[in-house]
Amino acid sequence: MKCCFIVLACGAIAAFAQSSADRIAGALMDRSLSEHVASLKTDDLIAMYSAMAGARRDNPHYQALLASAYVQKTRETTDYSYLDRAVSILNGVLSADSSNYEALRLLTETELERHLFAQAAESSLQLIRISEADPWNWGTLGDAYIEMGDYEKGASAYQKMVALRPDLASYNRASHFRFLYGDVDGAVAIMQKAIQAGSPMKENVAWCLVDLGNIYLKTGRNGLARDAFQEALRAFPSYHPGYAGLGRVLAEAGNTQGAIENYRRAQQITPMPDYAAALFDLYNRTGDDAQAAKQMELLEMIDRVSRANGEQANRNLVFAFADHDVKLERALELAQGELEFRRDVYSYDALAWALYKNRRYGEAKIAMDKALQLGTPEPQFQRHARAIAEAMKEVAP
Amino acid sequence: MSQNRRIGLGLVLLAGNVFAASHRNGPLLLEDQTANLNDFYIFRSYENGKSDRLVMSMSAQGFQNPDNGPSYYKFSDSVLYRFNINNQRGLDGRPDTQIDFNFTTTLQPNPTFVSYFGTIQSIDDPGIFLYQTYTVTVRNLNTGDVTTYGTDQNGHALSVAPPNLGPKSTPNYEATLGQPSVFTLANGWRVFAGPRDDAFYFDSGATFDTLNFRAPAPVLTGGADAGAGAAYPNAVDGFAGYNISLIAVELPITAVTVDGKVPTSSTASDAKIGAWASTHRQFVTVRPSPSDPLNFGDYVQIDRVGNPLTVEALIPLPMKDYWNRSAPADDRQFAQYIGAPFFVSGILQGVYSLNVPPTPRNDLLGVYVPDITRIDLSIAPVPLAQQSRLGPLGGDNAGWPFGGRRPNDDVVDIGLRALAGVLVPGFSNTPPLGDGVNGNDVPTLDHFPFHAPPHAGYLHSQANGTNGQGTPTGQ
Repeated sequence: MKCCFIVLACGAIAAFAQSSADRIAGALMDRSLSEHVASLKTDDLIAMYSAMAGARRDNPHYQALLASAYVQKTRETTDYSYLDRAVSILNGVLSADSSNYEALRLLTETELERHLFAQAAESSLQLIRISEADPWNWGTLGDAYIEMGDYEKGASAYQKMVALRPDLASYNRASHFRFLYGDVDGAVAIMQKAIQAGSPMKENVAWCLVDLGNIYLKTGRNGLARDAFQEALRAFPSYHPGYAGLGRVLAEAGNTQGAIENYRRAQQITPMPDYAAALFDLYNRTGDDAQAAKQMELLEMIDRVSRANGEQANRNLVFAFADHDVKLERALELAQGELEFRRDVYSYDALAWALYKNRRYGEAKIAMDKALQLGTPEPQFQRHARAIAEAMKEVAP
Repeated sequence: MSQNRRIGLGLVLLAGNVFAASHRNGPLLLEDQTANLNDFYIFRSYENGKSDRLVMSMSAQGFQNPDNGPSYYKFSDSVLYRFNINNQRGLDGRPDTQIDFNFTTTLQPNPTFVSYFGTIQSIDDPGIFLYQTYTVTVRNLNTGDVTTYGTDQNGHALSVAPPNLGPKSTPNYEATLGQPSVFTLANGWRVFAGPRDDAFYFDSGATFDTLNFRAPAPVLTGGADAGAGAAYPNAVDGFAGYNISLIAVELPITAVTVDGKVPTSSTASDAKIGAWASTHRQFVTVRPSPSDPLNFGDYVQIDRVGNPLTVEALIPLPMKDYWNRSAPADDRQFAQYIGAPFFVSGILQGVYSLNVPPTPRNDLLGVYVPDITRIDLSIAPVPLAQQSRLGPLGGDNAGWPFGGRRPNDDVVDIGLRALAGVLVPGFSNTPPLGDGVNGNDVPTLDHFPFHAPPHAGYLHSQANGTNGQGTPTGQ
């Protein structure tokens, strides 16, 4: 009886495996498998999901899992070739089934990563019409609105996200919004809740710790900032924003060599323009002109790559150039390009600074006022506003 | 030279997407480790001399690797862990009493890089750098009475049991750290919070391999359905050797019945209650408020668990998040899935060709709508040694689904047979379905908190293919 049943069962599974058996396996694995894989590193997840997706190319869930792992890897490394792979996989899924919810949701996140904010907002709204109770969709909608400078709509979307599910993701966004509006205590308290909420993805926790460290750093609590950055690196070793944060703390403390070491670690992981700009300053401080020159060469190389790709916007390069009085026209061009699709306070600050450096003080003042509209406690905003105000006084009749 | 090469490589990788580097791409979550619940238990205490007591426990953060770093699996300070008890209105899924556990983490001054240092000789050892305490708040929702306990009856903080690191750091774990973490509150209730062995047992590996059950599953005959059942490798407990975070409370039965008495008859109006566990996080306002800069608000439900296997076997995947956020009192909205589960039509009938009862399955609706674990408090507890893993299906009514749920109840085998219709008239000769795993990897306790002590990190091994099955816990 038992043998007969097993033979029958195996035969049935073989015939059934392509559809229903996977569905029930997927349902059963929901809680336990997710907790099993929670502690895996992203590279291991990619390997595992690649095997699953390769074995079952017709299974969109496995394809989506692989795409989500590539999106996560992009977050961790800032290496956008992973994002390209994710988009390619998602487009493949959607070419077979244009209504695949899982793929559509991930594709919206890739639109945000690619700064297609208006498109991401529209995609989010479409997904909300399909699943209003999914906090993810309200998160991507809020992100898009915030980047486009529509803070009221952004707050409403974030509020909906929090109401549906208070967790690391929604707390992190609520905290950021509080900071934008100058509520530092609220931002700190809510970011601490985000950290306490945790995530199976340790990079997510490290992201919040770096956010917390930056709030502390911008409000003059450098000791707490250092602790937060160090905690981020404990949570997720080799996290480049953590090293960069420590670099900033040490630079402000006058520990130039320590700052260089941390920025170099960050740069070795991913060559962000602001890391090169910081290292340029730090090497100049030590009198190492050769190394400083290399960092400036790197910035110019990044710009050449950016131009070769037809990019008209890059906020990081704006500050890198404007702060060092090099390629000022290019800085302004990039800042103006940024405004084409992103009208948040940070973009207006970049524009104001580039205009100031190009001696267009009146226009700089108008842009700076827009950057200051929310009362965001960004020391950089205040520094730029003071410089512009001084220049306005000097040129006043 | 080497650094420049790395930078050059990085630039190649960044080509075409340099602009994206400044975007504030906040995390988006699919999983929520600290707020996810695994299992909920409720049963009359079978501890010697405690049969007038009720025990409830919930497990969170499943699949804890004992050797994965002892500070990794702490309770979340941002999560409210709640027991909900429903004893009125015909058990409609609305809570009448709630028992809340709130945790606070204190990081003691730490000269080291570890959370626990040296030999931990007591629950107050100075080597415990990561120190967690909790409060217990009891709410009677009908009277509005709220009482909070922050210490035990002797004034000791309600502290979370430390992890079981191994014989050098936490020698004689259960006597030194496990049992001392059981606290008696001023009202006489006993509580526990800390790591324990996961009492759930199930051949998850075979199931997830597209129902690739090992012989003798999925129809257990003869010895496979009796006693300890088949041994490894024919039965593999996918949960063996793993720990969970357990919250447990023991309270008088009189505290949970509507009339404050111990019921003596199954037909008495106070005989049956229902209960479930849930997790919550606090609402925050996104916009700053001048009157209250923080303005933290009510708690929002993140997860819930009543009966075993509900969300795993009955609720469709796209509905799971919504189900977790919803209240048991509203479970009628899921009746279409529970009354005609795909598991029964698609798997038991479709794959295994079983003759299953017609839908709607009122037997399942009676258990799962609302999804609360019901317990008949008039049923006397059965001593651990005499318990049947099959509960009522094995002649032991003090187990799931009529007598609550005990740690040793084989809810997978009971659930498979119930889904196949064994409790439906005319279907009682359903094959003895099961996964082949008939018991937990380590013995559970005959006393509070009943779950076995946690596996020790030092002793844990996955090398033998059984995740440390059989390795004694508690040293």
